[in-house]
Amino acid sequence: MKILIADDSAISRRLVQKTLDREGYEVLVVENGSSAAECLSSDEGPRLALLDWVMPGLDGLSVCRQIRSRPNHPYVYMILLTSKESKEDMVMGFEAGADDYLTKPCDPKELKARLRAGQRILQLQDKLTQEARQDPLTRLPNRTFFLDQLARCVTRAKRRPDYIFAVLFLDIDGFKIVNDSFGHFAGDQIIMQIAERLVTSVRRDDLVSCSADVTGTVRQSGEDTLARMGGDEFTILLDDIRDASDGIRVAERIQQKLVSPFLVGGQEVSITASIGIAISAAGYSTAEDILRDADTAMYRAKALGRSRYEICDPAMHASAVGRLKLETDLRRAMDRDEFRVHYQPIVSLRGGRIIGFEALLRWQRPGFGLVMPGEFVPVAEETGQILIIGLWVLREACRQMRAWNQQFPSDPAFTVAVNISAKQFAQPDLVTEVERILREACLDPHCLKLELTESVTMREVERAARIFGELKRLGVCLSMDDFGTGYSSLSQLRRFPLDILKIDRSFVSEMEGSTESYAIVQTILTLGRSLGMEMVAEGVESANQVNLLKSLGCEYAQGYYFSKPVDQEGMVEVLLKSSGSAYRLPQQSVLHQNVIRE
Amino acid sequence: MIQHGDCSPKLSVDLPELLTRVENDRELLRELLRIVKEELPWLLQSLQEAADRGDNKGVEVTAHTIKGMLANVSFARAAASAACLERLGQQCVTQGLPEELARLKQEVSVALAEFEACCREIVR
Repeated sequence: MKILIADDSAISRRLVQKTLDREGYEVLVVENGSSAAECLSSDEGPRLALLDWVMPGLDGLSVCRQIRSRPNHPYVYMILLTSKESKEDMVMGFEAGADDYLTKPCDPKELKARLRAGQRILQLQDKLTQEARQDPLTRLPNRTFFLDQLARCVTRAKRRPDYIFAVLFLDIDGFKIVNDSFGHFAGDQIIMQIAERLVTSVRRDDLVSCSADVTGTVRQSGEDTLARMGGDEFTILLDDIRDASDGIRVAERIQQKLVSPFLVGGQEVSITASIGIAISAAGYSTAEDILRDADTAMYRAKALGRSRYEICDPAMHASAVGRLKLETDLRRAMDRDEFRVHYQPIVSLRGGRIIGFEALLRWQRPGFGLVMPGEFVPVAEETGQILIIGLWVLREACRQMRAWNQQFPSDPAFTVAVNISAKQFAQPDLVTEVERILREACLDPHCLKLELTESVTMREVERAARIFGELKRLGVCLSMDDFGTGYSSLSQLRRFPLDILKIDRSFVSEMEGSTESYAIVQTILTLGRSLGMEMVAEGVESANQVNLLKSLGCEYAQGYYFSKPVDQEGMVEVLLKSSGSAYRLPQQSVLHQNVIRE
Repeated sequence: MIQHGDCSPKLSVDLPELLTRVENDRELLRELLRIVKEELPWLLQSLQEAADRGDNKGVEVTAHTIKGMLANVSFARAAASAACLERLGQQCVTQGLPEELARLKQEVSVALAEFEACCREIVR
């Protein structure tokens, strides 16, 4: 092992050097602090050092401080060897960053013992560092290590405009199914086999192994890093490439390597991967940025059919940046009071009377105008903000309904339908929160209709049935939204105490021209009626649709034919004009003529 | 004010201790003697000059270096004297400094002679 002796006294240097030579150390000797700092800062420098305190120029204490101030550098075990004997000096030495303190003249046995202790600490530290930077399953570098390497490449790219690197983000397609079908142990076996094949897909001679590099040694240019980010995600850093074609070549090689089936427990399993490629040429300021773009490209590869690769182009980059800004703005939107609730009336098809409203979230985003939920709710779902936003909508809608029911009394009173997201539904305190909001708004629970989609309710049928029961006991009405678009099990549907079934707009919009859609609407209406539910058709836009729905016995409808969603003031105007009711319904004569013709 | 009594007098050269330190390496012992004979004169000269110009910091630092060197070769009494001088410099005390300096030179001279004799004896 290499060791540095830094001492301005020739006697001290010679004595210690002789002792260490006998022990088999590779001894480097310098006479001042500056040389010591330079030696310890070099890439292949020693990791054990004996430093005199008083030296010309930079003293031993300053060397300790300098070495300790370097981030991401291998740890150096430093022993101060000095004639300064006071307790205060010793404290100063340790506080400067020394690991041990020895006074001159030093007993050789003691010196050797202290150095052995230092080596043990370095070994333990290397082991811990390696474990912290290595994926335990595949022994590949992990996320921490990968991001470190990536950060170095980003820094290098800023210095050298001709330097290009690429990040490949790889996700195994449908790996959850493999885990669910064969169990997690088999899943791990496959991950290990995938890792082995990936190792052979990158530049093998230069592949950076975690064990060789965990101590923080600076990578040489041209080395590739393969890492497991967790689960079924792998990343590859292609260093110093010519252009994007190098990244594509590796991605194609990986796809090829994965073609032959994997063997698990005597069974053959076919595996494919979706790969996103991001090239440094786009200009990145942080490692996380380029990794995010590679991830985005990977998701695009998934969306375009899986088992393929996609390169993050400038448009994707811009989109990723836009998404980041959206996240940031969204985080501030609540505090800045930028959310709005718009209301769309739900109309009785018997007489055109407004029976209630659906509360719909909007975001008045500065610089972007009124933003529809489709543009930001998925992000809010991912970041978890949907919980706060969802409760706010519920509170606002209940408060408004109480106000309208006082201002425009009707019999029965107006109801308000509020959408509940999957994340909200998963919250253990959902029922308590609903109860609290109703109480605070002084709203009759029968005036609140909670809308859930099929995917939310069918995911955990047992739990959903229990939560529905609790909500029903509060007096709240329950509505199944977008019915027909998900994967409802009709037998499970029977178990839920649902009050309302909302027919998805896609069927309503096509029912005039498609016998299939017409038949589906008819079937849903028959089903709903037989289960004793109220039926609401969504997305009604024409008189013909109104008549068709009426002819099929649909009781309620909402859509642009009656009114688009409008803000609170707009809806008050409608209510004032109509005295709380009355949209004029079309004449029956135009009844579903297109369908009849077919 | 540092009293002479602060510097605990010991042997001029603690040979058993020195032999332990060099792990009975006679060759090394001779090398150390050569280094001491080479370096000590100009270090003592530097110390004298610092004392003459009233450079307390210079006295402290040079006495510290001499102390380390003498301790390494087990010149116990001389090292104790150098430690006294280091403290005088540290505390900016000039009273007694010339006397202590003379005493150091004397101790060094005695120890060096003893050391040389020891080396000759050991080699024989």
